[in-house]
Amino acid sequence: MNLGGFGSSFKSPEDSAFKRGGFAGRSQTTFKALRRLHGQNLESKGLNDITEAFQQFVTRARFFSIGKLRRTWSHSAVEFMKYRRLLPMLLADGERMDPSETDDFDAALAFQAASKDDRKIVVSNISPRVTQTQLQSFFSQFGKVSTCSLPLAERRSVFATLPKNPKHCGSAVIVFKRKEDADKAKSATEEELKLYDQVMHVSAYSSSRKKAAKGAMIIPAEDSKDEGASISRASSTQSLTASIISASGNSPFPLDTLPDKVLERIISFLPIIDTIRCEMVNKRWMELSMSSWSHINTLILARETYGFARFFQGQGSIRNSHLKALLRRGGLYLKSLNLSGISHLMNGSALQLISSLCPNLKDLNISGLASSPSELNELSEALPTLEKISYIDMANASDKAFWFLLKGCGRSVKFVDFRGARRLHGRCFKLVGPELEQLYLDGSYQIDAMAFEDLCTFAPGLKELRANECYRISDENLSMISRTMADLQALTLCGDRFSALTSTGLLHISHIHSLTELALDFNPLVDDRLLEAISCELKSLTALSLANAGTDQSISAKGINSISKLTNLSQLDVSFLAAVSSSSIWDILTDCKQLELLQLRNCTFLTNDAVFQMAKCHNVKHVDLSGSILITTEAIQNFIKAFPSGDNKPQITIVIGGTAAESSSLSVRGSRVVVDLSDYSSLVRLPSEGPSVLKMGTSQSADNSDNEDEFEKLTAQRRQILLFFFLISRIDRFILHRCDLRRGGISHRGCGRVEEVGRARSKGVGTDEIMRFEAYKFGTKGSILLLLFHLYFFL
Amino acid sequence: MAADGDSMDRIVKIKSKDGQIFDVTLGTIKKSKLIMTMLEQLGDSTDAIPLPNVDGSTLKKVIEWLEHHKEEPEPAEEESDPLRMRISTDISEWDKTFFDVEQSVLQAYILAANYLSIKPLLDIGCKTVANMIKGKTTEQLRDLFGLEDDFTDEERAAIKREYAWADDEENQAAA
Repeated sequence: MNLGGFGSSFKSPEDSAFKRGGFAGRSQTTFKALRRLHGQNLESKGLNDITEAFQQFVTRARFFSIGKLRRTWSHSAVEFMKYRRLLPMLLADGERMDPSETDDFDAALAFQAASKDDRKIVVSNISPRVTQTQLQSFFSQFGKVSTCSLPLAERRSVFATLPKNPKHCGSAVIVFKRKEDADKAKSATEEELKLYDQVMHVSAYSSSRKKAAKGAMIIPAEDSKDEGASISRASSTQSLTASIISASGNSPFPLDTLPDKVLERIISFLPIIDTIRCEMVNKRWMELSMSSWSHINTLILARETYGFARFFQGQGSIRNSHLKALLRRGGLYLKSLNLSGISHLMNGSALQLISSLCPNLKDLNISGLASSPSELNELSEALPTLEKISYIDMANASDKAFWFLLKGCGRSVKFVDFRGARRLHGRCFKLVGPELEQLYLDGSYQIDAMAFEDLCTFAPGLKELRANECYRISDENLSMISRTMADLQALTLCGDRFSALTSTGLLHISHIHSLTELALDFNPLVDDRLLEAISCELKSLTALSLANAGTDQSISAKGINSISKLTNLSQLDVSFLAAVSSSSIWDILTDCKQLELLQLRNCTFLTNDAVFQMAKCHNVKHVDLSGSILITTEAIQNFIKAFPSGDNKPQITIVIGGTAAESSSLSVRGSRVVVDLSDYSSLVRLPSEGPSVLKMGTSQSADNSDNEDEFEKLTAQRRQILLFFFLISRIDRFILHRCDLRRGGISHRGCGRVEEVGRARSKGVGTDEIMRFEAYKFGTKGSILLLLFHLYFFL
Repeated sequence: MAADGDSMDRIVKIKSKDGQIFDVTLGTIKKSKLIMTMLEQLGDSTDAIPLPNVDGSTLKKVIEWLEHHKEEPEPAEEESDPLRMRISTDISEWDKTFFDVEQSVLQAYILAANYLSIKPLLDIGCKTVANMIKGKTTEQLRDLFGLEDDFTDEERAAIKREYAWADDEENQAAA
């Protein structure tokens, strides 16, 4: 620093000119502050260290600029000019600065302020007796102090004078000359920081503190500005959130303004998981969410599992405790509860929950829920008004379990579904009452003759009896059924091992005049005599299924021809019957005008003539010709053309896989016929697997002795595809008789699920059924694996 | 309630809040329980029925909806509803388009349906709102609909306990 230069400029005439002109324009207060500063310099330190003096000057100047030091006076405004010329050099700390810029006093100060943040410390807990000067000299022990500001707690009075005993606010900001010194001060011990018997606290000048420190400092204007800024920031954040919400297309819906009744109704449409979330919103919502359960009377848990499980930590399945929570909310109002497909992690105590929490149930499906007889008893006793009960595929449930299940509710129950109950003998049917209308017993092959006698005695009002594979039914049973069950509308006796039945016994079926649906698939006892009797007697029959029934010898064209007398028929399945010929189908199609569904799989003697006739049946909706090898493109094309697309007319499906028709040469333009190229009759099995195939049906039954010779009757071709028959029969049962969905699942895996589900739809199986199947499939991976295992076990 | 074939063509006048008068046939308006009750009380009077809670534009749309759904059978009473499940997706395309409106208009429809006691319209409106709520977390719901969390800390703790039932006793049972 050139003091000489400094001195010479001191007396230069320009400076005087500045004083008179430029400086006169500056605020009077600045002038005063500088004079005060100059006087101090002269008094205490002189101008030996001009830099340090100037630092002090800057500090004073800042105070001064807002008038804090207004009362101090000095003389020699010229001294200011001396400093002022040095200012750029001093502030730049060696760096060059543009003089024109530094001419602006405030900008220069700002520059300096920015560079000294890390040299600052904040001192708090200062004794009220300490003055600013004292504080500065005290902190000089750590190093040279550039500035020390100890703001006053109270604003100056309206008279622009300080109170007589001004109080500082108890904390100060001290700027050291060097960063090291500031660090030293920060790490100082308590003893070192004791002033007037009060230990001061030193902390770093952080950005988070900045605002507070600034507020505490002496710039009230900036203080209020800061507040304003923070307010505007806050409001802008608010508006930002608002704009985000509106940008997402959902400006807040005024839900709270809706009446309780409406909001409750809204919540009652939500899935369970969302209902529970609503409960946690607030008190009103909790109340409404709870009461929304009163609208709900049907709960099919398999449908709800997905979102539900994800909510409960993704455990993937429902447990007793979940069930408890749900039933506590809505159990009182439930009329229908379906636990099928998801119940593998629940146990008998779920039944206790149901019995205690759902007193009004009418329809209960607890399939798959393993439980003890006593628990079933408790359930049954608690629900004496139950109307529908399903307990499907309980292969391990004992006869006793079923007994107890019907013990309490047997008299009131109208629908019983005990399919796949392998250990069920049927003692429980002593408990049913005349209310019983539908009974599904497919696959429960231990049910004995006595059970059917009981049914005839106690449930004469039965309308639907599905007894596929109930192999112990006897001729006497059928005779009794035909005499007592005057309302029986649907009877199924599919299966190939009815050991207690004879063809003559089967003739009793023709006396059940109320029958509208009859299925005898795979039943080898079907013969021409039976078909003729049925055709003559059962005029109201609308569905007849004979797939694979009888033998090639016992059913002839004569029997098939007689079917044409059943003029109300809308569904006919004569798949795999060698006796089916074009002429017989021609007769049937001519007489049975109502025919909608026609299954002609693997009818190897069927020719194009039949298909030409089909094209004239306007009610046909689904034709399955798969495997009927004599059908050619010409006939199919004719069929397709016969059904031009029109408004609101239903689609027609024709299955042509395995026929001689070439799909590539078929044109379906302008037609409402959907061509299905799959072949449901050609599942190929290796011949070596034939014998094991025989076992699969009997593997769990005790008596398989008399099946060998029956099997001998089968042709070689049949032997090859016996497994296929088995599977198809299951598919058919799934579709036609709404058979056990699990087995349907297995078959689907073999034959292509999509087509089968589509076909099931076209056959009129309710979407509900399919959804249940879907839900089942997706709901429990474990069970699917189990089923696959099951399948392998069979093979 | 008069419901035979001839009377279905009878013209009913209804007057909205802002004074607009609409002529509708009885067959159209029969789904509104409120108006049917009013007609019963009024007897054969031909004066317009005042509806002080519904404005003209909303009423016009409601009548449009009623016209479209005229042929549908009378909905069953709540008690005899055969299957009432928690399902909100069974809205027809036409209704979806009908309810694809501003939130405030949707609210007006719902309130009008509630006031006029038109259950099927109210149900579809509720389902539309339910679909908006679906899949949101509790926090999102509060944000979205500007709801206050008025639980006390104790209650909140109780809720937390209550909803911990997902994994307590059964996990022990499994172990």
